Amino acid sequence: MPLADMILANVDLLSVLRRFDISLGVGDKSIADVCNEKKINLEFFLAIVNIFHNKEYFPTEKLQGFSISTIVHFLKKSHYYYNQEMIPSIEVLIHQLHWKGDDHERNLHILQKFFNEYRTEVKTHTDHEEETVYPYMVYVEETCMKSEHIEECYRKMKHYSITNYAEEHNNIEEKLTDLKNIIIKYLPPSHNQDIAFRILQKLFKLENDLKHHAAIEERILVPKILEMEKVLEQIYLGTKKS
Amino acid sequence: MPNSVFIIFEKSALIRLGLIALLRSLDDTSVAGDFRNTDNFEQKIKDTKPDFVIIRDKYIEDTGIKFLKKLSKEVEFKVIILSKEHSAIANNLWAEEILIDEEKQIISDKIERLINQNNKNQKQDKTDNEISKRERAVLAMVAQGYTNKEIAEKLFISAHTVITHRKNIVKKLGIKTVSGLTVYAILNKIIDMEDLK
Repeated sequence: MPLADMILANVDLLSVLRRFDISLGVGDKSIADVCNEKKINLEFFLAIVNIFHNKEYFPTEKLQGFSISTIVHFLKKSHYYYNQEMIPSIEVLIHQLHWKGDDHERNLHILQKFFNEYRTEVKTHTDHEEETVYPYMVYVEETCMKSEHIEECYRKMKHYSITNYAEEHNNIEEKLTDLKNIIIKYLPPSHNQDIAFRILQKLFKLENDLKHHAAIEERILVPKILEMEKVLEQIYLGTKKS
Repeated sequence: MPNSVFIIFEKSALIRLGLIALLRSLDDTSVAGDFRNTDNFEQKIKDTKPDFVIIRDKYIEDTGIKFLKKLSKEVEFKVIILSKEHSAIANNLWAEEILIDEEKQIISDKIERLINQNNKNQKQDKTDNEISKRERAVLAMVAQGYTNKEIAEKLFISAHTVITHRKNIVKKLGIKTVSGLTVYAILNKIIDMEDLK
């Protein structure tokens, strides 16, 4: 299938393509050609694109077959997209909101303040994952693959296990849902309603994206690492006995 | 007008029959059952889901005040106490009272008034997503960053009640986070921007 046809079928997928460093001007190249050129795992690419295209689709088993580093690489790109593109673009729109009368300043101020908090929350969340959680996951996978330095890995596991992450994985969607409700129900209508509509559309898009993101983390990465941790523990305890 | 359902617990068969006749003479009422004792009280209530429970004062000791209060919240009914003379239990203000020696007109007026009150409340419950005065007070403090404990102390209510109010606020407004509630409170002039700690 030509990549162009895929984009024509669902233009929303462009934001996903960007995370694979695919740019426009694809000509008549097929999806396989482009992936080959860019050294992208074709199967992984197709799985991800289909998740974002079809809400019902989530091939757990298939996704668990890909390496942690492949998945983490994609998730990091998603973080970049949230922090550097999506959220700033919403922020720009919020700045443009305008109300007639005295309430303008108050409305704008509290909305900006709220969104600022949200932006910080997302950044803290993603930073933590990139600095602590993802490196740990990649490390566990490497240890499993190489079967070396298992004792060291075991000691790290005792200090920080993926169960910690699963428990602390906090919900960055709550503020987003609140913001949607505030804009739809409680914020006095701005003079420029088109901007408010665009903000809402972007919020829905971001929310959707975050849902897929969290599903990949919680349903693919966490169970995979849990399994590896178990295996490593068994190997370690086995070598200690013998 | 919705139908108001009554259930009666009274030893005297004559009084029961009298009450039933009186209730039937009023508009939009029905009697789901009348019983000479309080055996299987809870089950009977849950089966019939009454709007009003008419009960003889001395039976209340059998069922227990606390239990009755809890059940009335759960199944959402009002309690009407039947007594010979004004009793201390009704003084607690949580129940209405009918004196059996009273004239028909006085008793039926009282019941009609209770039915009207109840219908009004129900209507409000259904359509009104607006927060109550008490919830507003709690919301104002939440928005200003007070903890549940601080709110409980300031408003003279238990921490448990504060949590219940907060749950209701979240349910009514669809806003979960404290920051979101703060935005709502400022937009609706429940607090001023200067009130923020």
